[in-house]
Amino acid sequence: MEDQMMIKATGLCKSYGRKPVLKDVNFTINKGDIYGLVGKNGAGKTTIMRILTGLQEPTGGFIDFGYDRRKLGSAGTLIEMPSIYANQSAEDNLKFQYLNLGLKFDNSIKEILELVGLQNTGSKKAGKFSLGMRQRLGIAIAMVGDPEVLVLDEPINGLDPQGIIEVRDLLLKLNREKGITIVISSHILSELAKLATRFGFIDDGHMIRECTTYEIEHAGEKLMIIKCDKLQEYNSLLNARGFTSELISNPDKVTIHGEVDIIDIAMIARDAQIKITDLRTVETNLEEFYVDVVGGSQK
Amino acid sequence: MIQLLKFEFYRLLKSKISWIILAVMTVLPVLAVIVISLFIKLGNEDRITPDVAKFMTWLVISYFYKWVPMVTALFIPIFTGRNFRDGFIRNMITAGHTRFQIFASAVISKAVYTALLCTGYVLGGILSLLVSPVPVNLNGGEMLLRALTLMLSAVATSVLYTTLVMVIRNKAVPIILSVLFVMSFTVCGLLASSFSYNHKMVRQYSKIWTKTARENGFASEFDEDGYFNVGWYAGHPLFVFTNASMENEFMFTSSSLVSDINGATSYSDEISRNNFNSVSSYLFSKNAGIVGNEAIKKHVDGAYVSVERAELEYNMKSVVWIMIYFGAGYAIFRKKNIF
Repeated sequence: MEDQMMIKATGLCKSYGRKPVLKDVNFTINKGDIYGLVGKNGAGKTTIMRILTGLQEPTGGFIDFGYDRRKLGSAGTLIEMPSIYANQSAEDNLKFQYLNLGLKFDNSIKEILELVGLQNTGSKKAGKFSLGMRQRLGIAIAMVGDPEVLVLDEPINGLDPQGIIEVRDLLLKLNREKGITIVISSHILSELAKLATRFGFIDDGHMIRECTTYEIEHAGEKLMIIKCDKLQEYNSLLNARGFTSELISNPDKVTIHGEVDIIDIAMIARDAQIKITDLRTVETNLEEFYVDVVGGSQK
Repeated sequence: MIQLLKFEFYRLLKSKISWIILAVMTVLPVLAVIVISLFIKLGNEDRITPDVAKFMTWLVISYFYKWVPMVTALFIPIFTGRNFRDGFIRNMITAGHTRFQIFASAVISKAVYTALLCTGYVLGGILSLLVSPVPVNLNGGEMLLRALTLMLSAVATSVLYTTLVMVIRNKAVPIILSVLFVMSFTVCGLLASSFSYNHKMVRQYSKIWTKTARENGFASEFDEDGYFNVGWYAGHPLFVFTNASMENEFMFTSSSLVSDINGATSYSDEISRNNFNSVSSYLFSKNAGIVGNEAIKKHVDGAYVSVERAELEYNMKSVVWIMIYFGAGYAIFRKKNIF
C-alpha cells in the first residue's frame, strides 16, 4: 500500500532580510511517521517547523498538506517554548486552547491532564511550574482537539529523566494508537533515535539527507564486541581463521569488524575452551550517523 | 472569528483586574455625586431647578470620558500584551486562525469592554443620583445620546491602544504611548477647542471685534496674526480631524458646577465653539470680552452649532479614526513577523 503523504515541502526557501536560512529544502512526511529533524543550532530546523505551523511564510517554494489544514486544530504544535498563560492554571490553559479551537469543555480536559501527568496541579499557576511541567503542559495544549499532526520543537527540553521517558512513551502511544503523525526535533539525539522512524538531516539551510531508522542502523560497518577469559589467545585464533579482529584494552575486549556469523565465532571459542562472558553487536547510532552526514556535508 | 471572540471574552471574564476596573468605574460616580451634594448643601437647595438638575445629571454621567481612556490606556496594553509575552498568540496562529481574525477579535473585545466600562459608569452615576438630593433629569433620554457620542470616542481610543500593542508587541512601549496619548489629549483638547475657528471665522470675528472696539473708544485693532491669535493654525486642524475638542465642548468642569448654580452655565441645546473669543481674547488681550456672545452668534458663521450636528461630526470622526487605527494596524500586523 502506498504511503499517504501528510506534508510535502518542495523547494522551500526562507530568508531573513538578505540572509538565507532555508535553501531549496525538499522533504516528504507520510501518515504515521515520526519524523525527526536533525541539525545543529541555526541549521534551519525551527524555521521549517515555524513554516509548517503557519507562524512564518516561506519566501520561496511551497508545501502540500495531506490533511485539511483549514480545520482548526488539525495540527498541534509546541514551538521553541510552551505557549501558555503564566497566570493561569494548567486546566484553565487547556480551557483557553479549547476555546481557541472552538471546542466545548468536556471530560477530555481531565484526560489530557492525566495523560501528561498534570492532573494534580489544581489551581497552581503555570508560571510557578517547573520547566518540565511547563513542557508537559505545552504538549497537552498541542494534543487538544485530536490533531492529525504534532509539530514539536525540542519537546523534551528541560525534562528530567523520568519526564523524558514519560513524554517519549506518550508520543509513541499517540503515534501507534491514534496514528498521529509527529514531526519532532531534539538536541538529544539518543532520545530522537528511540522515537523517530524517519529522519531529515539539515545543515546550513539544506536538507542534506533523508533516511529511515533502518538505513541509519545499517549504514555503517557492524562491530562485534566480545569479552572472554583468554582474550589474547582468542584474538589470535580469530585472526588465524580470517576474521578482522583486534585486541582492545581498558576495558579488555576483542572486537570483530564486519558481518559475522555468531555461531562460527562461538564454535571457535568452544573448541579452544575459551569462556565468553559477554557478546554484543554494535550498530551505527544516530549520533555517529549525524557526524558522518553533517561532517561529510561540511567537507 | 466567533471562537476567538469567545476566547477573548472568556479571558476578560477570568481576569480579576477587568472585574475590579469595572467595579471601580461603576462606583466612581458616587464620588462625583457626593461632591455635588456637598456643593448643594453649601449652597441653596431651592436653586435645584429642572435645568440645574439636568446639568448636574450630565455633569455626573459624562465624567466617564475623563476616566475610561485613562484606565484603558493602562489596562489594554497590559492585558493584550500578555498574549505576546506568554506566547499564547502563537497557539491562535498555529490553530489555523487568520491574522485578520486574531487582530479583529482583539480589537472588538477591548472595544466592547471599553463600552461596558462607560456603561457601568453611566449606570453607577444614575443610580447614585437617585439616592442623592439631586433629581435625575436625562432630558427625555437625549442625554444618553450625548453619552453614546462620548462612549464612541472612548471606544476609538481603545481601538488605538489595542492596535498599538498588536503591532508593537513590546509590553512597555504601547503602555507608554497609550498613556502619552491620553495625557496629550487634554492638552490638544484645549488647543483644538480654544482655536476651533477656521480662517473665515477668524476674519469675521476680527471684523466684529475691531468694530466693537472702535465703538467703545479703543484705538487698537484685532491683530489676526498676533502672537496670541494664531493658535487656530494648529488648533483648527486638530479640531477638524480629531475629537480632541470634545471634552471641552461636551463636558463641564467642577468650576462649571459653581457657575451653573449661579445660573451662568446650562445644559444647552447648542454647542458653543466660541472659545476663540473667551480663551484667545480674554486671556491675552487687555480689551478682553468686548464682543458679546449674541454679536458673535450673529456675525460669526458656525460659532454655535446644534448638539445634533456636533454629535454627528464627532461620531463620524470616531468611526473614521476607528477605521484608520484598525486598517493601519492590521496592515502592519498582517505583514510583521511578530510571533
